[in-house]
Amino acid sequence: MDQDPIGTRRPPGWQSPGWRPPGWCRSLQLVLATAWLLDGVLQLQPVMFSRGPHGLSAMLAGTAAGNPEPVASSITWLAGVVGHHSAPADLAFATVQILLGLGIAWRRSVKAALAASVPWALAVWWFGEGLGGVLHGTGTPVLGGPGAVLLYAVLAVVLWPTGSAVSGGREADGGVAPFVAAVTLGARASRALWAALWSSMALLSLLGASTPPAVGAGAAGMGAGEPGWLAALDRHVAALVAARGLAVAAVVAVVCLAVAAGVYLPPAGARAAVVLAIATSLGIWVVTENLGTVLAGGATDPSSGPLLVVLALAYWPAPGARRASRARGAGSDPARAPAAELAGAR
Amino acid sequence: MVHPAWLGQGWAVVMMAVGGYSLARLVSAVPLGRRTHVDLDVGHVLMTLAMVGMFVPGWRTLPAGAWEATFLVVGLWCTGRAGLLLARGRLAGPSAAPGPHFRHHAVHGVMAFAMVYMDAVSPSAGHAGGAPGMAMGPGAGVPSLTLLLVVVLLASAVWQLNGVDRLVAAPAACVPPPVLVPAAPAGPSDPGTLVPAASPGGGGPVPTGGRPWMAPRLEVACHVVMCLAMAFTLVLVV
Repeated sequence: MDQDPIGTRRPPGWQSPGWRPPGWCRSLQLVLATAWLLDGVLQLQPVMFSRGPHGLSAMLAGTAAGNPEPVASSITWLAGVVGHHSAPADLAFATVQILLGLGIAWRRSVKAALAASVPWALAVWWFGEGLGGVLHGTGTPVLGGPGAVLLYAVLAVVLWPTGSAVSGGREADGGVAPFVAAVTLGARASRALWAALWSSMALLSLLGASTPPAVGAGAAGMGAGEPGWLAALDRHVAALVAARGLAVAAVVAVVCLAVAAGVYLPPAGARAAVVLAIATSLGIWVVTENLGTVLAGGATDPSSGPLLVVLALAYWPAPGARRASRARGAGSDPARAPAAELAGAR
Repeated sequence: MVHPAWLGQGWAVVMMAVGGYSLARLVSAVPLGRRTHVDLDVGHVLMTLAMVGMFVPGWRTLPAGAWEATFLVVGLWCTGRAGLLLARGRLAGPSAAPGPHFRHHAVHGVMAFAMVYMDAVSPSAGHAGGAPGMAMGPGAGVPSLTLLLVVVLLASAVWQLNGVDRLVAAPAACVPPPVLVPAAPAGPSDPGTLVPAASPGGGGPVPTGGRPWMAPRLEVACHVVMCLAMAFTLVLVV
């Protein structure tokens, strides 16, 4: 007898013949779906329904400061609209995000949900995060720059599902995909995307250093409402970097540049760069982003750390990549050997 | 911090629908000859009933502490079953992966313990910090534990939804295999072949009389909704 996911025994034949267990790409999509669901559930916190200084409209209005006039005025306008209809607006926002999560989780609607998530994420990046502070130099990566929600859009593109298991392991031009992200975009474009993202984070880190206390003050300010261990960590970090803002920003920038360049290295080097990216993302997430302040209440998302980790995992060199490069060196057909291995990655 | 009362009432209505469906599924399982997990269905019914009382305090059905004891028993039962299934899998072979039975019992164990946790931090259970309109209050729980439970529940919902297409019945599975009868021999040396017998209705597939309301996909949908509702309730105590 077969067993369904709910645990009920079914007669043989109940399992759809076209169904496959999730591969690497699908697993990352499921993590993305979980993140969208978490965002939707967090959007339903009581504080979001209020019209006070901690409500959704005030949160939106707060992101206008420092942005150019057209951006700021558009954000202020939407904050005003939301302020007049806070409960329905917040419920609508939450519903959209929950539907996106469920849509990505359900295989039949994954493409539609990923496609819809791109404009939604960009709109939230504009109106909800004030373009991540990119335009006024406060979007430093240690404080979540260039904006967590922007990464949802990037992930939707990178994790776009391909049609079949066979094509899943190959790029559009017929070559072998060295990592999952390359299957949709191709190796060259996906590497360029990675390099652009991490290079811009390096740049934002240096731009953010023009206000040296930013990192320390940000870390110190994060402690409010956090659990004791996280608040203590914030105090230590704030004391440590208080007078070293520029040095910290420089170190972060160098690390970001190393990660950006690492994707062009051979598989072993690329793997090390991905590990560095994951370690950096987790470090930033815990130390300066305070897990997105989810534990303090009032957060709308888990911030950029987990999303950067998911993105990094999409660039993890596939098992066949090393053999493919060897095969290319030996003059054999590089596409043949690892294709079957990579097929499982979708 | 006031949560809209209509939101809690809306969730309560959804929970009643899920609980009613789970109860109907449970009751009709025996006459229909379907093998279902009685313990998990009972767990669904109890959880939805308790959550209705969490969303709308006036609709509480059991006194404070009674639900905690109930879900402690349910949680221990599901965890024990999951442990047993895991041990059986280990005995079957070192490479034997835990099956969906194990996963689902484990998730239900987590859900039951989450119910104990939520009921323990509920102000109507004798704790302070309640929010009007809802039986939960911010700051009443342990934030790290709350977040962990929320993530586990949402991941469970995503995992179940990902696997729902696995439950689409293949066309061949909906039709009973044809009865084969010996064909008339063509001659003395013909060993004879088996051919499908003519059906009483004159041929064609025999309809099975499927019951769409009993489809396992609806069961998955109930699980997803419950996970979402429970996660929503948990974020209220962060």
